[in-house]
Amino acid sequence: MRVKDGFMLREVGATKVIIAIGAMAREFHAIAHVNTSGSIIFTGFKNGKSADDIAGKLSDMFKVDFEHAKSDVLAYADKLVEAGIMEK
Amino acid sequence: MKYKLAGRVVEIEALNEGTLDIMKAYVYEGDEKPAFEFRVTKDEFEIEKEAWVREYSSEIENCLISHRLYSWLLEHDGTYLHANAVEFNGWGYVFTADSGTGKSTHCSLWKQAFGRGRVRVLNDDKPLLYRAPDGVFYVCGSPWCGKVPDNINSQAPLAGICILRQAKENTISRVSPEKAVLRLYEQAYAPDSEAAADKLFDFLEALADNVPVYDLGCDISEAAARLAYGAMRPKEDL
Repeated sequence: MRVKDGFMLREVGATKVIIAIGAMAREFHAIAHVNTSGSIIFTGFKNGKSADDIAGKLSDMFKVDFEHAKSDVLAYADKLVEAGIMEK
Repeated sequence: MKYKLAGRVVEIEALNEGTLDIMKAYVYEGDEKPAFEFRVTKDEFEIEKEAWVREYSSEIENCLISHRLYSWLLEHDGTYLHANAVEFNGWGYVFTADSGTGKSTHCSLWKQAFGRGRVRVLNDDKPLLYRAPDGVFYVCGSPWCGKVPDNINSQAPLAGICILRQAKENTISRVSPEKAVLRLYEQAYAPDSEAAADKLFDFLEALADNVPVYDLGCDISEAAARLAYGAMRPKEDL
């Protein structure tokens, strides 16, 4: 799974959002709000990390077991696919 | 030909009569050197014409010129906003919303309420906003506007920005700078790179920290215009 070209994460105050740029901005004009875990998952996939890599990071950060973290990563990635931000 | 746009002198060479015509009100005849110069080449024009699959030459050229200017402006503390902007008593008032919400209708109500000769539309679709070197934010007219041309070559310090929505009752309230940035981003020039997006956010953050942004729920009445003006009017305009 990968983040489509033309999406980036930006922090505005305490809010984290995913925005579209360039040609993608014409198709996807909305702003997607994400929480801290969501921003870590988005940034991980954007930087070419695997679901296992990202789950490992979340597992360390939030002291949850790896399998639990991985299922969260995959569920979140599915949401990003559904939103048109990622592709399989 | 030199033009003055968003407070800067720029040199733009257009090929098409229609383009020259809509830009003529912005011609600059002074001695100031242009901060930015470009020309639309025939190659660029032909490529864009292919993409558009249409014959409106001036529209294609206008699109090329305006987008080049918007990109440049983003690098220099400015952007356009999808909005309707009016000048009244020396101040600029901006109303932004999705198409069809009633921005132009609301501005007509300002004319009705405060006098047609006193309220002037700066631009009815894409006014330019910029920060001058002294830190003051301005809104100004530009040649690129809605289907029925309504713009003037003038500028005014920005008194406030309203994010408009239709409502049965007229209400107005301040929007936090953080929320304002996100709402304004959706109506600003879509950046074409991550660096440009960062520039746009930096500009909007500074704008929202310095210029009040409001949520305006309004019906179609002069009372809506009076409510908006009462809330947005700067202390200096009493």
